[in-house]
Amino acid sequence: MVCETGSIRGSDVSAETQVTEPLLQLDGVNVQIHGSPILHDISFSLAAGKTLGIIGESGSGKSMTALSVMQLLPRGSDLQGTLRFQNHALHSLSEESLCGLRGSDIGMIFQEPMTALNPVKTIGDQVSESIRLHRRVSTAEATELTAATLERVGLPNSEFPLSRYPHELSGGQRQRVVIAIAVACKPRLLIADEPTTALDVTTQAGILSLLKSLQHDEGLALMLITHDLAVVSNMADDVVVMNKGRVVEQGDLGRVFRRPEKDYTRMLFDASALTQIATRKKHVDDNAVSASASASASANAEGSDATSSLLLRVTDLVCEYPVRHSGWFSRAGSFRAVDSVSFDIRHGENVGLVGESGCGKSTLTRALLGLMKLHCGSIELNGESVSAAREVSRKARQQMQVVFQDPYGSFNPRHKVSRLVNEPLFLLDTKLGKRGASMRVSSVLESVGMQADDADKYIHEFSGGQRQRIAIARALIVQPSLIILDEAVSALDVSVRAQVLQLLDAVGQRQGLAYLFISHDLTVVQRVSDRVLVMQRGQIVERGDTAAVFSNPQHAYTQQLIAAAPRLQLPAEKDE
Amino acid sequence: MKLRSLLPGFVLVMLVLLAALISYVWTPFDVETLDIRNKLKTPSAEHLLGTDHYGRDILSMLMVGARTSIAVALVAVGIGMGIGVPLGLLAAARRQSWTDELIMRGNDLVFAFPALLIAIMITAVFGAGAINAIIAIGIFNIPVFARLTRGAALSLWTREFILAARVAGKNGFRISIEHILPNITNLLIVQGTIQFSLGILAEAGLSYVGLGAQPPIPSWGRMLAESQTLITLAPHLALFPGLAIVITVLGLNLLGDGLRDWLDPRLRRER
Amino acid sequence: MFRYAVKRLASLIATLIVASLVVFVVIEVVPGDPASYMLGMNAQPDTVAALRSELGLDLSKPVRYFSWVTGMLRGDFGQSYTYRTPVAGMIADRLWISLPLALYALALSTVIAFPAGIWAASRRGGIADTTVMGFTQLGIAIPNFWFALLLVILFAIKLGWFSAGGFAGWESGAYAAMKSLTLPAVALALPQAAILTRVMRSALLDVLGEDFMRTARAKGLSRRQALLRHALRNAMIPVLTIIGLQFSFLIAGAIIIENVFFLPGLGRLIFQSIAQRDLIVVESVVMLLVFAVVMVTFMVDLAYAWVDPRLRQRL
Repeated sequence: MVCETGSIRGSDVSAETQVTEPLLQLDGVNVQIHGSPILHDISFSLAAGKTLGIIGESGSGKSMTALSVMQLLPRGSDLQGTLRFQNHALHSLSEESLCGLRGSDIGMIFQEPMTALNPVKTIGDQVSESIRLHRRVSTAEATELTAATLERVGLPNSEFPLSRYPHELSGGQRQRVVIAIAVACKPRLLIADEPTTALDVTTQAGILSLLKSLQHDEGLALMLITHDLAVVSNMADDVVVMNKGRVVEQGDLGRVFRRPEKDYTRMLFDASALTQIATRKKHVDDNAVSASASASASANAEGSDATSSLLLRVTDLVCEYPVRHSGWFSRAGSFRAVDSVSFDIRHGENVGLVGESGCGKSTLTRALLGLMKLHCGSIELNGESVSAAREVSRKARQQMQVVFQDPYGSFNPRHKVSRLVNEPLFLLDTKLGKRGASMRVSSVLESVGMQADDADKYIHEFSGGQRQRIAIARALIVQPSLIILDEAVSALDVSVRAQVLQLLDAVGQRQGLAYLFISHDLTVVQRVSDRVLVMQRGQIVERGDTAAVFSNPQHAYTQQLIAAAPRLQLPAEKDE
Repeated sequence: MKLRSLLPGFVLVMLVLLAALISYVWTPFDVETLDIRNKLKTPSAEHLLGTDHYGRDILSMLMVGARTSIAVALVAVGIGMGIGVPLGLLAAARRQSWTDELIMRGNDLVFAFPALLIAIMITAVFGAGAINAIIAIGIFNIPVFARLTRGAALSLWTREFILAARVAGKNGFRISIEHILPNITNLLIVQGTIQFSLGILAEAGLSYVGLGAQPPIPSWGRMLAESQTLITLAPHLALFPGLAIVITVLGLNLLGDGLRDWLDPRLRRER
Repeated sequence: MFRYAVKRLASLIATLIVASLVVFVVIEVVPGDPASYMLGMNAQPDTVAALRSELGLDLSKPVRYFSWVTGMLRGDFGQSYTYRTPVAGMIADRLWISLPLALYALALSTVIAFPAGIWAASRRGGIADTTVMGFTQLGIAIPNFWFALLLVILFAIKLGWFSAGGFAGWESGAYAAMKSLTLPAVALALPQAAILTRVMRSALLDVLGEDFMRTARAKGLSRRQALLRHALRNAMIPVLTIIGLQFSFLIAGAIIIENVFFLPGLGRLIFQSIAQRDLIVVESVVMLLVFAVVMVTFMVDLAYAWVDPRLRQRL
């Protein structure tokens, strides 16, 4: 069935033409879902061929705004206000006409590329479906167009034939297929809802540059939704800042970033700027960044300082996973997740470990925590070996604790906070009594900025940032010397992230803790660590002082990583 | 939708339970005395549901028969849970080891036998009766709970809070009890009610073919079997025991659905 | 795909072997000896002994097991103790009733369940959905043999459209034979259809919540198109699982239903043989039914790989 396209394709919209009428215009859009208000009075516009960045933290309503444009709001939604696209009133069109516009004049791509494609259909099928829906073409022509579209998004047919299935592709490749589906019919507007949030830094750079080139080649207007100000600053012409379902501020990118009018915008900007990679260019915030970097550098001097003794020594660590070859007589092969890794951590030192997904950092974490068997190599904590996973002594475990990434999944939903936080006390040789344990719990909760009576609550009563504080409390309760932070702030909003990092700083200084800070996010690692290790495919490819590595990376991979990380740039102001 | 099935289900189940319990102290008529003169009477004020071919009051028979059905199904669920859940926990705690493989294969093996066949084999060997019916149904319940527990536990083992417990030095057994079990209790309760209702149906089926509780113990299934030859004369004999089964099973299913929605309202499912 | 099939086949054979052991051991543990049962209480010991050696009962258990298994692989199920006729023949006769009955019921339940489940899922929360759900709740709660009795009361006795029992026999023509199987098949199909409808509905609802459905709608597919073109195939995976599982319940149900309608199928054979202590027949029929269940599971596994390309690579 071919939907009516319904758009006026004949009009010339070249880059030169002055378009007085904006391509997309929202006025006073209010949305309630089952009665509860989600969006309040949303108004903005987008001109043809331009990029509009919609910035906000989680819960700000930015995704709902995008869904409103597509008229794909969930069941039970109620929308008031007007949405005009070219000369269509989207809010009053019939479902059939909307079907004609979706995919043909307006395309949309979503956040999770791993689940965005139907696993039982080939990529060729899924892209050509888009074409055959909206264009009257023969099957052969559709196949040709499909192949061309896939080439255009950077998936050459020689490597990615149309008969491929989604599970044979990586996350970045799947996202390219999703983009192909969205742009196959050459729409005027592409809505991208957090298109790169789930992707690695280097993959992200690729996708963003693809979007830019598509925009440039075809005069596509782009509505880019993200929480990452750096990404927005590289891509957008205009921005809309949203918070709790309202538009806080909007305007030209340069103006909003240089002279934000509202406190919220200012707060967002400051929190993001704190975690930006310092570059050689002179920036307003450059001083703040370099000041904090030098402060932490002097507080915890490198190994040459005689006062810090050796805490953790990892030597030639190798961890393997068995992989069954799909053969008749299956020979067990093995995959080296961690390949001959060696490093030291001294008391009180902050060491960062940077790597993208699949580099082996989570395997390394598990090995360090004694949760995995070591193939060979050794791990020594305070001189004691912790190599054999089974017999990792309680004393050793006490010295080394962990904070995980997921503030929701790292706690048993059925236990009260007191029980959650006192779990590591199991490691103590002399068990504290009930009173002793509860006193410890109270004091450690207070030390992370929570209250003692929070111990009686359940974990679902707290926000993401608060849960991570509780996770830190859990790690602190046995007074370890080393805390491993495995992507501990990656799942948090920007503003909350800054607070948690400050907390870690304070606690670390106060108790002389050493941190191993593992993250894929270079900006966070740069902010927090004195020394940094760069990991790729199971190996440490570069190591050194944080400042040195970031300003003058030696290894090609490090250079690639740093180059790909989006930087918060302040574009020159436009003369309005 | 949430409480819509919970309340009616609960009411129906309570009704049947009460009938069974009350039957221990009182029934409208005694089920053991035969009263041939009154045989095959249709429902009346005196015999609310009529009488059977021996003149026994059908309502009383149903009440006493409820005992059998409930007892058999309940103990069978107990066997299934009592053995199946620990097996499932063990298999998940030792995932991808020989223990796990063994338990999985064992499950597959039992599943290869239709439940009724197990019952037939056991009763063929050891004779018919309520106890053997319990054992047969119970055996079939074991892999159901084992598979359910294992599946749920496996998905929990990869969660970060389990890692945190391992970092705190706890071993598989302790983690299974302290962390895994409390998080699967809801699932087990819901599945328990489902298996209970299946047990009622299974017991009725077994009694129908003569392999369940033997006379003089009354049983709904056997009442149906006995009604078959008289179906043209007295259709009410076939009607009421069947209705009793339907009410019980329906009540249990509604209860199970309602419990599932009530216990975990955050599930996105709308059943 | 091929390797996947081979691995499943190996697993199937292993299960069958262990199952045969179990069947043999359980049934052979029977107290009471077939020979003395057949000859009665007052039989002379040497007559019993003679009968036992004639029936091969005096051989050791492992020997009897192996000869039974190898016989089955050749299609020779041994000789019935009671009737002294080849068991294979007895089974074959009955099979021509039980198998069509099971397939008939399976077809009926699928034909009802699929449209009903799809309809309910597409109208989730509406009147249609609630009605379908209500019916299925009832359908699951009704014992199929009771439903059979009710059908007999209504259609055979009151209306006279069908006979109350018995099998017309294939010699009277396909139509007459199928007609006599209709009421039994309907009775069997009812709870199956109810369960399948629910599974279809819930599988579809699960799939409808997946991310790729969002992509499908964003492409411009209408709700209906998205459901039929994308959701349905993915929903088949759990539905196939349930069909496979339900097959074993179907067999159990068929055994009971045959009793209601006096159909001379495998069910009747089993019960008679138990009563007559004709162990060979019991063992063989049980093994055959187990084989059927395992075969169906195997075919479902193959169907998975066909539907879900992700399974084709992995072993």
